[in-house]
Amino acid sequence: MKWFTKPETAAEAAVSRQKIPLTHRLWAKVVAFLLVILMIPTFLGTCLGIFAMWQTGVYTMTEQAMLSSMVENVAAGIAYDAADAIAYDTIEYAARKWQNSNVASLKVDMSGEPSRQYGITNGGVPTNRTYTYEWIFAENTTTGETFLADKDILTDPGFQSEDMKVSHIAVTITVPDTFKFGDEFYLVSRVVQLLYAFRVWAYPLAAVSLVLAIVSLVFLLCAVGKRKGLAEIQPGWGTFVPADVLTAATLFGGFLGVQVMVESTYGHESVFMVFLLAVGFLFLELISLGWLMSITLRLKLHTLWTNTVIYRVLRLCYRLLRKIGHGCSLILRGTPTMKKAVAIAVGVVLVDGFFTAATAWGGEAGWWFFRSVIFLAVVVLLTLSCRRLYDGGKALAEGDLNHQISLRHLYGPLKDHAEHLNAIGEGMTAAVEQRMRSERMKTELITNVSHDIKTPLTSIINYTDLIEKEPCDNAKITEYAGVLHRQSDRLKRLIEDLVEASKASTGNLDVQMAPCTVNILLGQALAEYEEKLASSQLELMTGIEKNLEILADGRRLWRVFDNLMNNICKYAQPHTRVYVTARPVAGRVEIAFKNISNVPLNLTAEELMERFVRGDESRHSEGNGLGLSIARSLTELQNGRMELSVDGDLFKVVLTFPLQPKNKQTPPSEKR
Amino acid sequence: MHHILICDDEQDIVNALKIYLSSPDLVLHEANNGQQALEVLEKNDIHLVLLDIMMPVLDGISAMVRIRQQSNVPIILLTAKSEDTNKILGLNTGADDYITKPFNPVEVLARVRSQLRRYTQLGGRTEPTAPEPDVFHLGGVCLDDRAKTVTLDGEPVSLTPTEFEILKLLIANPGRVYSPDEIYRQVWKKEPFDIDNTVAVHIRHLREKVEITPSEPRHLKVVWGRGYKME
Repeated sequence: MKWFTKPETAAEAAVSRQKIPLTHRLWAKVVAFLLVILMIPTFLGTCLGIFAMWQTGVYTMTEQAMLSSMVENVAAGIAYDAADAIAYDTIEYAARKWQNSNVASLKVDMSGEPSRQYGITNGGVPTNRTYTYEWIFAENTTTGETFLADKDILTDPGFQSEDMKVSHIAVTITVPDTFKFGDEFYLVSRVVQLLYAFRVWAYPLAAVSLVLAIVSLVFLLCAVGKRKGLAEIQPGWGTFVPADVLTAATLFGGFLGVQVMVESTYGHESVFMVFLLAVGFLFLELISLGWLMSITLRLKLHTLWTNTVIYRVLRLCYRLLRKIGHGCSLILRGTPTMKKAVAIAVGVVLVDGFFTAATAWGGEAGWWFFRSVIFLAVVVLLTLSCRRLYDGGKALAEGDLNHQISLRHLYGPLKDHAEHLNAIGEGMTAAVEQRMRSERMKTELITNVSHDIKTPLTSIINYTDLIEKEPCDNAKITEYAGVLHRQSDRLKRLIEDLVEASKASTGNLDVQMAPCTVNILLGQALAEYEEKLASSQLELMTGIEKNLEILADGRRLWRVFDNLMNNICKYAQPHTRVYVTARPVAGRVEIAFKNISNVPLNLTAEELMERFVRGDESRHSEGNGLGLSIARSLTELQNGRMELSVDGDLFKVVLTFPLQPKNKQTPPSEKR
Repeated sequence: MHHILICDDEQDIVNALKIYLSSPDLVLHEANNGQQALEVLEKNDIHLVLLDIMMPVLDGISAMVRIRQQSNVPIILLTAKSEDTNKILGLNTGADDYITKPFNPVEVLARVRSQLRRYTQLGGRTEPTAPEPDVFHLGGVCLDDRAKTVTLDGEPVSLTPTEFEILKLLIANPGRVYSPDEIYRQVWKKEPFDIDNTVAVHIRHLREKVEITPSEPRHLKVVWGRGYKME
């Protein structure tokens, strides 16, 4: 990030320039590249040299001994040439090249049949380096065949001395200590000199070149993809080539390079050979290093795998297969179970038949037909059975508990399964019936008990009324009768509410849903409560939107509003405002009643909603706490929701009903 | 002099009713089950029956069915059964009114008086002798547009002009449901704009005048969420 900001002072500029790491500098990379290119052959060459020197004994012999041994080798070569020349009598010609050489003196003596001599002396410093070699020159008299051999051949038992003309050749060659001429001896002495000078430095050279090569290589690989001034790894010019293509090209190039090197060993001049070797090796080095860098860069970019032809082909195959699979699954899903299974079976049979036809004879085709018929019949039977089980399970899941799966043509585990499903249906029906009966009985019990309670209650109410009306001197009796009257009235309402709550919560009410206009209903309900609100000293604020239609049972909904408004009249703080609003919210109609409680509400909304629960503090006042519970049950019976919320003294009831789209065709008095 | 039969198995309730209904123009008879009620009816000329449903020997519904085979005497069922189904059953099998226990004595008296009026003074006429275009009858309610008077079971009722107009609109089209906006348009002769519950309040007042029990109206009915109608 810092590289992008312009340095403000020279010092800062210097600092930021210094901070550019070496890996981001081009010249460092070039140097490292060259180092790798140079150091690898250096190391390899040195190792090869060390190996050769060990083989030739450079490390075990003294320089002098090595020089002597080498000189002797050269001398032996000259001696052999000389012997060969004298045997075929070409010595005059051959000796010309030794006349101005480091050979101090050469004496060749051929004795026997024929016999010749030859000798030259070049002078020079006399030494003790005088070597004498002896050969046998033989000629087969019958075939005319000739050969030059070591003198030991004479003692060889396989050597046939008959028919042979044998001559002995003795060569004496003297070599000086110092070499004036640039011939083989000089070369050998220089080489030995160099080798002994080099043998000490070979190990450190190998080590240093190896270390340099490795360090440079590591540095190069680290630096690959890094650019001056850019934090991200940058793709190079070669990274768009797929990795496997690059690898294949590199391998091919390597093969070519090796070919060039192998080619160089076949009959070329040594300079050209070295040149070819060098070119081949350099080429190998370059392409392998390039490949290594490219692969490293891909690794850094995380595109090693994704940018390959193999990957692309595999991905294409995967997508194709997935599309095919998707299509197949769509077809399968769109087909009914029965057709699906039969189609698959027919497909299997056809494939089977195809292979049978391709390989078989008449009898086998008959067998194919036979087993296909059996197979298809079994598949159809199994599928039909499964289909029946499927339908049965579905019917159960959808609540049709009377659905019975026919057991005809069902066998084995499928039959057992069908029986189990039927048993589930029966069990569920029994359970549901049991539950419904118990709910009904509960409601009936409450209803009947309420009838029985009402009869004595009627007497109580009537006679307390009569007592109240009876002229009486005792004011206390009048007062007590008033209490009795009030309480018996309350008991009456309690019983009525109890019955209603029981019915509403068990759904034992018939609800006749019809389109209902919210503002009309609320207007009617609020009109009923106009005076009651006024007597409770409450101010009503309305915000009711027009033309909101819901599907509800008007009578039941009125009961809900009735209960809620009743609640408000009883529990709202006098001289406060009561808010009644209706508005559409996301496809539903939200009707809210808000008021300020006259006592602190120390209960949660859930507790208030519970049947029989009322704000404890308000237990002394009228009401029985069933109102909210009934309102909620009735609301839910009409597909509505009732939510209570208590926020400090703010008491809020929110009713929501699904908004009914305005239907113009609905006659205004469709149903009562 | 009207003879009234009070039939209830609870003697205390019979006594209470006798106290409430005690009046110089009413003769009270009593019975404690359906069988006794039938016997009393045979012996006396009864003008109205107050009948409980849940009684020993013969229950109220069965007794009522037997009574209806011979007589069209007004029968008011007075029972603890307050379910809608019970009310419907009772009214369909021949009852003229249905009062649930515990009852309001004043209401009982009013309903008894109403039924008696209809039976003795108004009930004889089943078809209007001549079409009277400006006089509307519905249940016990009678509206005379020419005289601008309204009577309930023969008793005059005083209405404000607006209430009278609303009642006229509804009684002229029995069974039809009028939305508050429609009523406003026809009665106030103005477009209903921001009228809130003006109509609802007027109807409530009207209901209190023409109904014995305004919370359970017999004629001027509230169709909750839709409007109002008379039937």
